[in-house]
Amino acid sequence: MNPIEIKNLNFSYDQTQDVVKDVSFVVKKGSYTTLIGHNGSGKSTIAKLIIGLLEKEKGSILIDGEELSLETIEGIRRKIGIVFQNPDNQFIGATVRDDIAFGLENHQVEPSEMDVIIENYAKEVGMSEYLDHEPTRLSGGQKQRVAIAGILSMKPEILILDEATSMLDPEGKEDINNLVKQLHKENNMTILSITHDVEEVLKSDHVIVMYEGRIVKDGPPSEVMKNEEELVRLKLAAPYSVRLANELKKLGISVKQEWDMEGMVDELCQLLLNK
Amino acid sequence: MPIAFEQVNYIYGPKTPFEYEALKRIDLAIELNKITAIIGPTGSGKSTLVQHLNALLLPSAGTVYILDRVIVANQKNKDLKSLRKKVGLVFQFPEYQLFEETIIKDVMFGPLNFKASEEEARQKAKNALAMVGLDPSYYERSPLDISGGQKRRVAIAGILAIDPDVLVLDEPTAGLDPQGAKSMMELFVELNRNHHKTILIVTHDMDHVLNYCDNVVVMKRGEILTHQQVNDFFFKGEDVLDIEMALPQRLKFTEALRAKGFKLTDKIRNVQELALSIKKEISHE
Repeated sequence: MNPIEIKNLNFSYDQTQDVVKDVSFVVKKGSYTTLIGHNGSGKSTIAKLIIGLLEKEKGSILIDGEELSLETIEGIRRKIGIVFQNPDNQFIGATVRDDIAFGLENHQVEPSEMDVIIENYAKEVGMSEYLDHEPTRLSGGQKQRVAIAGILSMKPEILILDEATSMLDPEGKEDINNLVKQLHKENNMTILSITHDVEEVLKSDHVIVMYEGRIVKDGPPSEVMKNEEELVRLKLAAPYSVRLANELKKLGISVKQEWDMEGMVDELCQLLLNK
Repeated sequence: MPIAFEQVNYIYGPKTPFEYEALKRIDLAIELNKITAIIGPTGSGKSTLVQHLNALLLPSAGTVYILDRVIVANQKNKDLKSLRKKVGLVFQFPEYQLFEETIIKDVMFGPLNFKASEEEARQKAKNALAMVGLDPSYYERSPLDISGGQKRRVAIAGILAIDPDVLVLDEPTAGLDPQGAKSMMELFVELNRNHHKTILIVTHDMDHVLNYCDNVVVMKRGEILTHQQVNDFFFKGEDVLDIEMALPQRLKFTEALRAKGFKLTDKIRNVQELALSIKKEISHE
């Protein structure tokens, strides 16, 4: 059974113009799937439809094979953790500690265990020093770290990240990505990440591309991310390695692993040795 | 007149349990008519620093010089509005600065607030929206019903419409799709080169720093670690390696290739030149 299965989904904010048009896709159990597309292509709308913050017009949303509806929504929301674009929209507690505790309380975690869990996740996202700070007074990147700790501490079966690390410095982004990856492996968590970060896309199992409300590509990143012209047409950018590979091709040098920097550097090194 | 910080401290929530010193004795002079990047880990004080530039935050100690204004800690400051006409600030989370019923009205608010006529304001708003790549079909839509990336464009247009001399942008490309980010950075370069705007950009994108900015300020824990020309920063000193930030893609590649025996110069400026240098090495007799 697939954790997320979307079939022929349609949605419009104003009943005239559809922003999600006949969208169908599957997120496989335990996979790290990325969802990319230009601004306004419908990515965040889909995330909100999946957790029932918006109501679909047509089509179906199946979570672990169960149709999302008024009857099932409560159970489904227990399985899904979502981190929004703007973390301010999800802070409740007066301090970082309270904020993380709030989610745990809702998941019936014993108060005696809570402190350990909170301190552990705060440490993992690098926010131990800030447990007694007010979330609203933190910097944009720190807010994102806290929001992520709060959601991860609940160990959801399905994690949806909506540009959850867009305001983190590159190192911070890597730390968080590694933490998410580790939890993903340990708990067989299913991840759907909405992102503009090409590096993250390249490391994912599967990538879905949206363009003007529709799904236009769906496959492993090594296939989806290698056609520079097509990506530009979809208002996206090719990875640097693909752009370099294309420039090299024009000069008569061809490489096979154009989506992977390390692989490509090794190939070029071979060419250098064999000259 | 300069933009400078002299021994500036900033404390959030003074005399409360949440008291926190976000800026520590900052001394910094920003070059006019240049594009300056401000980088550093999350929580290093970047946003706090730039919010002093249009007096949204006032220093807890020290002095801030902004064009012809001097802002001294603990003194009354009159007429901050005239300063805000000259220094436009776009926040990290743009949705906080959007509030009108329609996008066109939202962008017109700035010019109207600074006494432009309805007609002038509309024209300025249209020009600004065109600059950020939003076509007329968006004018009558609500700024709250568009995507995160589009909100950011509207927020930037709102500041451009005021035509400030100094543009301060706090992570202007976070949440923009790659092409949107590229055209936004090109717009800032254009505003700098052809309209002589002084531009400060808080960013985490090291590729943007390398490809579009003149100077770079590195912050850490409320202090300035270094302030240099971008080229010196990336190619001359060791600072770039010390600050534990990811290198731009182009430098990652050149470094990885060098480690494997490729001889590549620091002069490589784009992907085409990198490809040419690789070709030269491989086909070199």
